[in-house]
Amino acid sequence: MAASSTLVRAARRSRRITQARLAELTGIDQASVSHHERGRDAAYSTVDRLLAGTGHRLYAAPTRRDDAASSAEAIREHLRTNDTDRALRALLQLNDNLTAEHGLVRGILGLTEPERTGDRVWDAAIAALVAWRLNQESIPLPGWVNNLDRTLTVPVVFRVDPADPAPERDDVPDEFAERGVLAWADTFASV
Amino acid sequence: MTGTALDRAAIITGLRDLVAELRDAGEVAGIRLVGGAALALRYFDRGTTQDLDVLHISPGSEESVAAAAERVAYKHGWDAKWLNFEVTRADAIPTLGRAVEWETIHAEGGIVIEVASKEAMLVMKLRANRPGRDTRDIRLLLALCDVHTLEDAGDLYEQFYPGDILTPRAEKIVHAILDGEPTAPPYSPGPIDI
Repeated sequence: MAASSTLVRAARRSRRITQARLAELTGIDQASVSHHERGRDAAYSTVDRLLAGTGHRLYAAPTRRDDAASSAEAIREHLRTNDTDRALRALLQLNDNLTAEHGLVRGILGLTEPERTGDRVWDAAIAALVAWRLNQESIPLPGWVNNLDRTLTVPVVFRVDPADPAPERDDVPDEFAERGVLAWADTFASV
Repeated sequence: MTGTALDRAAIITGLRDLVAELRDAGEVAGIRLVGGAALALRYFDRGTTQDLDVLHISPGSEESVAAAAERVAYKHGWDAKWLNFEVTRADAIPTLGRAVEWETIHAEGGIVIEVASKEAMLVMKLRANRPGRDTRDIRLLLALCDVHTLEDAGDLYEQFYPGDILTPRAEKIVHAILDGEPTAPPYSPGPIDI
């Protein structure tokens, strides 16, 4: 389930506004904005006000699957504790979520710009994965997916374990190669 | 549980609720677990995605297990297909060579849950050999199975998949693991109380 704190933080950062500015825009004091973004429950009306301050609103989508923003938050938390295994599982879960949905609903899972994970390779990998799965159904890409700062200038092998072999170009989906993330398509394959 | 994955405690809760649902419906069932969830449950600490690779065996029916799993999913807000039977159809379980040993982790009232042996888990992971996704599992399973050479890994693989050999990519992964810093056998993740 997507936490409202994730939605608000991702929405605010995608608009490049500070918590102080959001507090000013919404009339909610900064400490409350900060508390909420750190996970404290808030009333629906408060969440709606905070999102309004970022130029967003809530809609209900016909899916229970987490979107890219929620997955990125899980990845960021795992990377913070150096748990790359669980970070990868969260990325694979996003892959499974995207492939399980079709058409516009798949697109919705990629719509909100995720927060940075603190690691440029993973930020580029998230963008690449969303672009790859949306392109497969010719779904228009959200703008954040093509942000230049989600592309690595020097290509990097996407290594989760030191023993992961480097792929050949043909092993890498185009959307990953274009963003400089040399990940195997097979990594995202089910059995 | 995070929003994106079932952790070990959630897997145990899910299986416990599944057993309760089957019992309440008067059903019997044989359920075998493989894949990442089985590894997290029985062998070592590990992240998982939101599905459990399972195969149904006698007694009972796959349909009744799937129906009970759907009720558990609804209760917890999980994906209705959190029990994934595709592994049976994907021909991932070795059937032609050495028989897979199964360890019983629950048996009560005609409902039996089993987990594949570590050797079987290793060869299945070697067969999949998806970089990133399977590498750490292969690393830890090699240590658990006390396999320290590429030749021994290949021999074990051929026992389960006779006439088949490790792919070059699987060999490359095993070689890189054995060539690097030694990996200590992982600690058991703890008791499984279903």
